Amino acid sequence: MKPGKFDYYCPKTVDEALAILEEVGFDGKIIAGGQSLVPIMNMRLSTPECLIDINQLKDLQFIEFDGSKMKIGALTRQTEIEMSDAVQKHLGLLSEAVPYIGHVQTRNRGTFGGSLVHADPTAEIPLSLMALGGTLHIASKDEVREVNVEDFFVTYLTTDIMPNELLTEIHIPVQEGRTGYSFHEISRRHGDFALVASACQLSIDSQDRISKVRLVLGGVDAVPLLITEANELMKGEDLSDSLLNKIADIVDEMVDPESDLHATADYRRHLAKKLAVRTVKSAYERARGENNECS
Amino acid sequence: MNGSGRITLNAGIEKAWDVLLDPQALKNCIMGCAKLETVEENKYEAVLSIGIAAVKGKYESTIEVADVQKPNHYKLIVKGEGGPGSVEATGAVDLVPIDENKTELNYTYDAEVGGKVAMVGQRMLNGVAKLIIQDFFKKFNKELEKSEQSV
Amino acid sequence: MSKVVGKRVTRVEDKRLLTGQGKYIDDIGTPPNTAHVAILRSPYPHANIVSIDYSEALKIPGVKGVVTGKDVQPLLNPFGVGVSAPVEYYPIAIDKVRYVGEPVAVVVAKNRYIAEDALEKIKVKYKTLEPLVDIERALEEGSPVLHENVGSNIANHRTFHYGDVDKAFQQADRIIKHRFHFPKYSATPVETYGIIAQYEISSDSYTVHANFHGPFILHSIMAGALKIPSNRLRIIIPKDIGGSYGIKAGIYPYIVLCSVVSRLVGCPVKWIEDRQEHLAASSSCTDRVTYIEAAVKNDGKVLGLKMKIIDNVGAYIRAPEPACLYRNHANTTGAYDIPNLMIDAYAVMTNKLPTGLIRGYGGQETYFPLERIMQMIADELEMDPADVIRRNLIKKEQFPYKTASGGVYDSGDYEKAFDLLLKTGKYEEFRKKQMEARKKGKLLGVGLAVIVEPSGSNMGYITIALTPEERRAGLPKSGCTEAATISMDPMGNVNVRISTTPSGQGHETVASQIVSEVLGIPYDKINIVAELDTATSAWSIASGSYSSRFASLGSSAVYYAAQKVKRKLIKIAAHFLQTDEGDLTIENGQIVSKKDPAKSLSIKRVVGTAHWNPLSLPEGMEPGIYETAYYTAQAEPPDDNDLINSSITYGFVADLVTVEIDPETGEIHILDYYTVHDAGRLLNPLIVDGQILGGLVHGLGGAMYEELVYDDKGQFLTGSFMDYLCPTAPEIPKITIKHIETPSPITPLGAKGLGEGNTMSAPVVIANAVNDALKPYGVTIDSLPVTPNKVWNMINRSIKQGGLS
Repeated sequence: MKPGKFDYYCPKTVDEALAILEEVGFDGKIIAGGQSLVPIMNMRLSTPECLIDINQLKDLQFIEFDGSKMKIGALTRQTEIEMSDAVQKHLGLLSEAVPYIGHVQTRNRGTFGGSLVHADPTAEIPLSLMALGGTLHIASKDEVREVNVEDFFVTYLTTDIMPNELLTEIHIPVQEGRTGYSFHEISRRHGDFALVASACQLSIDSQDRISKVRLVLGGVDAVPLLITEANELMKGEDLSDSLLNKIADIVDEMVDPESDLHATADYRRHLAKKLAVRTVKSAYERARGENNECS
Repeated sequence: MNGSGRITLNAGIEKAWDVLLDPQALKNCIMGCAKLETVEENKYEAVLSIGIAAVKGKYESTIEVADVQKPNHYKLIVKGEGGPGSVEATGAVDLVPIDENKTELNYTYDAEVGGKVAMVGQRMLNGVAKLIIQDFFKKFNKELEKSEQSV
Repeated sequence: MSKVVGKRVTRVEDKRLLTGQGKYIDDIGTPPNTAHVAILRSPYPHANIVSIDYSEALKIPGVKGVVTGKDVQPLLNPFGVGVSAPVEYYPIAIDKVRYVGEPVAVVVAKNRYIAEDALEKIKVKYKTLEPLVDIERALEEGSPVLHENVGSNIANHRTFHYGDVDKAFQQADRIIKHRFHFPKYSATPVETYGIIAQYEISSDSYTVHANFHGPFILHSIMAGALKIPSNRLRIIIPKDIGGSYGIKAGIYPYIVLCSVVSRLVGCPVKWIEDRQEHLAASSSCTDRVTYIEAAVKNDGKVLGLKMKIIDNVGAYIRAPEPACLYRNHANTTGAYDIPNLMIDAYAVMTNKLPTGLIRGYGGQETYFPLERIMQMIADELEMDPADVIRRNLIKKEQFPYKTASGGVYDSGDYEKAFDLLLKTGKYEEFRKKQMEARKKGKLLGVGLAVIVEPSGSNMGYITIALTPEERRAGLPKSGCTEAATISMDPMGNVNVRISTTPSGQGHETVASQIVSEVLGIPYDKINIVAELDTATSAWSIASGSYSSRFASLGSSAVYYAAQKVKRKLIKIAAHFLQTDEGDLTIENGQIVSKKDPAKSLSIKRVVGTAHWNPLSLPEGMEPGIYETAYYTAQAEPPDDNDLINSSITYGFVADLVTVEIDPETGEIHILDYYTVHDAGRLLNPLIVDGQILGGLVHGLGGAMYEELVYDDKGQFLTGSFMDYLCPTAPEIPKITIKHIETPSPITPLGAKGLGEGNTMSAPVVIANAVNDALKPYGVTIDSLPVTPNKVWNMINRSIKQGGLS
């Protein structure tokens, strides 16, 4: 449980970090909170030749609201998200999801950007961001590009980010009007990786019809899975039992979970259906203002 | 871990067969194959860097092509050992001609991972194994196209 | 001095532990030139070692040496073990590996980082063999055999007949039977194994610091393995051990390994086990299959039991196994009056981690089938499980109660404790609530379990693994000896040296309380020396921290040592005060005459005299105050009829658990956990409740979370805390603890051991509660842990078969 040998860089500015990344390329690995990376390095499942520690890049640690969207720096600690009034007010889904991540101690170190880049298919932040929508700002020595969250996750632990790039900030649109959200997760213990997790963000019109909705499931595929068909189906509809049944059927169709020690693929599939329904229902109720306390 | 799958190859069965058993193509298709040397006919020694993203292990491996029934069937037996543990996998490939330019490939695999990776990698092993195998055939179709072009 | 025994006094250990001044194995210094050990372990469950090439590893700067099985074999004997099967167990694989994680090579280097770098350079060629994982397959002909020279995978087999089992089964109205499987799980102390070992060539001796906690019978086994006289193996246990729950008894093969590595490499070596190593290759409880049959009358009375028990001891049977199979032998029938018993007991070997002590040791494996079958009897007879339990409980007037297999339950009032449980847990009320809930499609359940908690093991019980004939060939073994030494220095202050190697249970506090009460000195003025040193401490084979033996045995040794000191003080005082010893009593630091309170001497003065002016002591008396007491309770070896009182004291635990199950997801919510204990006289109720909570949560782990999982090919799958799930704070339910106290007539303070009871009871009581909740689906829980996935599978299967939906 000791890591292999590595070179250690501790840049003081983003530019310095990008210059190092450009130089070391595939041999480099960024370390932020280290809550996933350090264990896998200690187990020697990962042996990067260079570690680039970005914890000094305080410019990447912020939460801002510009009137229409929230901007969150990649180095913002998960605890800061959890405690942020602005996040609570504008991105309730994120506030609800973050306490499910690990434990207080890991959230104190773990970062918002780190969780996105690590891209664990059950992780709460990737799932929530997929439900909220947004863009990721990715910098390299020569440019900053923006990627929509839908295009960001590639597969297990793999994203669109190239070895010379650094995730700097994430912009998330804030939805006005009658909106609701919900996050549900089932895990063996509190703080464990979810067996299945479900996030939903929706808006309804004055007739209580769903105008906008994003339902996302985690733990059922190699990436957070946007249930597009269900989202399309729900648009313009009241929430009815028959609609919920249809959502469950679509989920059944779309998910492709794996078996592991803690849950069989069948059980995950079943949970995915149940959680999808629960999540949509409670998000909808919340949008109608029926139960602001529901979770 | 085991699984199966099916893909359609954009080549006739003879052509597909030749490329499948070409060591260079094999090297190009196996994810993280840094070195592949022929030891004897149908037997290779390889250095594989298998894993996903930064979670990778280096395995010194033998790859054996067995049970060859040209042009319909063969087995690929991979045995590797490295820092993170051991891998033993057997894949069976069956080719069925569809038409002159298309062949159906059916595969089944049975893989066993041992040591550290099995001990701590539980949660993603099945998914990653599937991914590596799908990646193999995806790349293989590209190899076929490449060889078409070179012809 | 007011009475302190029995008071909720805070622990004297806590100040140092909470301020970071604990002295654990990793806190004590190392000798100069100490190198660090890393161990290469087998990735295969069953394979021959063809070759090991470590030439590349030796080239890494900082590497001092690499040691393999072939190097150590000439220096070692295989470990001794108490069965007749000729299993050869070394601390490292010699030419064959038999479980994933078995040591194959040891690297010694300047630091652990370099040592681990070197591990990656060692090339081992294996020839894999067919693995054996399944317990029952181990008994079958034609299965792979782990130890060729043994010829089969059976390490031990014994059959026992007590009472008239055939008659009981003839007289039964019904025979209710089932097969149960108990999982293999671990104890996961925060501090893992740690060793500093040093070989000294000039004296051909080994000095080892290790967080080993006995039983010290294993010292003889280690010395035997090292082929040295036992006084050439000095083992020193640090003052603080960061938890164990039994598992640190299993460190001893590594003590031998590190010792011999130190000798071969020529420098002191240090090894701190990492968490992966701990999960894969330290020790665990056995997994066990039990076939249980109960001969039952229609009124719920159980006339007799038949059990076939197959304990899986892993790849090698190692001492003290097969103790897990027999530790609860005397209390096989639990809290019930069942005089007819047949046991067919096997210990088998498979390609899994070898087993050993884990809190509860055999108790959870014993009570899971027993208490499940009691609930099944109730279900089958359509009786309330509480009534079935009550019908069979041993009555107060039957104590001391002799069990079918030779146990002597020293004291108890099981009915009173059980009634208290039902009342505290509002059993009747919950049953009504449950009926209402079922109508609404909600799944509520309540489980009951009553168990007898043995404490203070009789060292003779392990020999029940041998037949009476085999036993006659050797020396009989008995007793449960523990020792303590109390000295008073020239200024009259007290030092107490104990040999119970505490691992967090508060022995120092309780020893202080006892000495304080006997000698009339404030308990926080007493210095307890908890370090055990086999070269300088008073100890014996039974010494150590296991089988909940401190309250029954350790505390008794302290008590008798204090009594010896007291007698000497009084004798000296009587001499000076010119009165009878019987006239004197100790009060507030003074020795006072009862007849004439004006006549008194301070303890300080009395002790001072023994040191400063020994010539004035009564004639023939030795100077100084230094008294050691060795204590054993009556603990006979097994007799020719295989009757054995395997423990000294027997407490009682009754549990009531209520659960709610989400029928959609299978999630289990424990609503309430009530537990009633009778552990005789409680020495420190604060510590007692802490012990109960810890033991209970460990049991909760076994019930719902923890399992060392191997796949059907023998690969080990739970090598980190990501997959080996210990309950954490949010998983702990609401727990209500109640006590009754029926003092033990055996121990001088009336105390019994405690702390393992709920580890034994929690797995089954939770299973009973979950099964009760799922009763509408007609399912039977017969394996653990019970997980949401399993619950959902059961519900789902039942619905598919046309059951309730």
